[in-house]
Amino acid sequence: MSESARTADGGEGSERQAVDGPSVAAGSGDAAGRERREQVPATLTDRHDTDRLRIVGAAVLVAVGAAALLQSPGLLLASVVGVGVLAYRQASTVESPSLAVGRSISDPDPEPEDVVTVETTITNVGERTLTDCRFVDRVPAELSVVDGSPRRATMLRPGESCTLTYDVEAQRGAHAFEGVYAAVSDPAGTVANEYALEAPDTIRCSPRAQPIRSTLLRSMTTPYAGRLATDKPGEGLEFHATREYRPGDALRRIDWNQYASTGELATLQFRTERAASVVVIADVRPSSYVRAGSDDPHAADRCVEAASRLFVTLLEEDHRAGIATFGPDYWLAPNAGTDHRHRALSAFGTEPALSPSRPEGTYPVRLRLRWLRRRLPSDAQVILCTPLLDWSSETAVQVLESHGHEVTVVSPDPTGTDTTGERVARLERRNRIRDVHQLGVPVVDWATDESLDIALARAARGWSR
Amino acid sequence: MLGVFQGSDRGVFAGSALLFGGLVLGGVQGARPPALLLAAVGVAIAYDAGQYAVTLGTQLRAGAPTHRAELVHVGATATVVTATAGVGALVFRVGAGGQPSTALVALLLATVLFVWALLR
Repeated sequence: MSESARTADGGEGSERQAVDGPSVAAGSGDAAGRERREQVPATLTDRHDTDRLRIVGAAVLVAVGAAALLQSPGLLLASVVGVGVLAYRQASTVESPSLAVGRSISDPDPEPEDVVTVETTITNVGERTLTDCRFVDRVPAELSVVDGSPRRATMLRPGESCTLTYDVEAQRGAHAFEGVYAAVSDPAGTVANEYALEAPDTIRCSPRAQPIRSTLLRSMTTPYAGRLATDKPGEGLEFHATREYRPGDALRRIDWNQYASTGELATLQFRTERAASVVVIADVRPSSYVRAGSDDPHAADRCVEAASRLFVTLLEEDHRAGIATFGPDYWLAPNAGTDHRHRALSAFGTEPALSPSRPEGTYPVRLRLRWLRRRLPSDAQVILCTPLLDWSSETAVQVLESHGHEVTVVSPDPTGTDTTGERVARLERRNRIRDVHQLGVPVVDWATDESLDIALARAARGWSR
Repeated sequence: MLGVFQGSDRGVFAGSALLFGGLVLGGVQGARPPALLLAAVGVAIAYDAGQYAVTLGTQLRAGAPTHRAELVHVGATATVVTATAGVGALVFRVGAGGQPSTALVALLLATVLFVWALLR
């Protein structure tokens, strides 16, 4: 249980106030309770005329008219009720509220798909009773509420508080709560004033980034998974060739079989293995924030997921891995080690450029490529995670290949088949994949409902054939 | 009722208008004044509660706890409406007792109140 910044002084000792109504905030003596009694800044955002009782005036006139015409005392009497309603509407006024907001988040630093309980307590710190107030906690757009409701309508007497309790499912990224929306209305409901209450809080969720159990890199033909085999003879595990014995060669590398049969000394050579530098590029341009269905993650989100998992896998296989983006700038030079891994994982969790919400602006790929080419180590391989939805991603592949970087494309498929437009986009993407294939660049086509491991394993089988 | 379930303003309005039409028709048919008064109270509360429910529904959607606000709102309306009806019934009694001057005063008061209430 951790309290938000404003109530942090309360610490572990703060009591949950998961009650609506009779609980009075003044009753809790701890620091958190007192903190919550401070009024938060409220901005009047809108003022609605919600007067639905006006029509009663017409009804009264109709009734009185009918009564006069028909000389019916009963109808005249009945219209008195309407006059009462009108008078009530006239007399009721709306209060300007003073409210305090405290939010507690069960785990502000959760793992992805963890269920986090959020409790937002709103206290009336003013002198007047708010007879009709409605609150909506503005949950970050990327988080979905799985239980409870972030909304509530209630009455708050002075000092009284209500708590919105709900569970959200955590997703990768830094998610900021924008505050609380409050609509305060008068008893008769003639006017509703809308306020934005400030209550900033953040849930930071770093990805788990499980390594992928699948052969990955393009020239990885060695059965000894994990390292990039080269065509250079030298120390290694896999047999490469034999050559004449030269003085100084190690005894254990002499080909004794050949010596037994021919009497000539020969030396076995093995393939050299070296750690590769691999830069994973995630395409997070605004155009990548598309998805097939509203429940699916965005293609950009899946690009980042793929990038994070590939990154971890590469590090585990003792490669030097780096991260770059198309879109909002982020660059992490290839490196190895635990610190590097931690830095990368926290970037995948909280770096704004890699966040699951769509960025604004335009991000030309060509400029970014020019910038990248200066920083990419000359022998670096590139894994480009892009949905391949426009020609510039294809250009990127061409440019990188022509500068001697081996490129592999991992492409999450965001296209659907529901509308004609979607089917056209799907076909265009198919064609683009074929074009990229023709450049000699392998493409992993990753369908929406498929796990990345399966997509990669399927692709890897295809390449080795 | 249907209007509330479908969350439609118009539904609630149409239903209440039907009820009100029934009330006027009852007056035309010569129903007894207390019955008409009671019916008016019912129509007013039904209309108000229905409209309020639809407002809450559009603003907060299903699943939000709103009992307290609803009870307070409908309770307040019911109190006001019943109190007015009580006063009206009292004045009616007194007027029916054969004192036209008292009734006239009450009528004047009611007119002033009505005009004031319509001003907004």
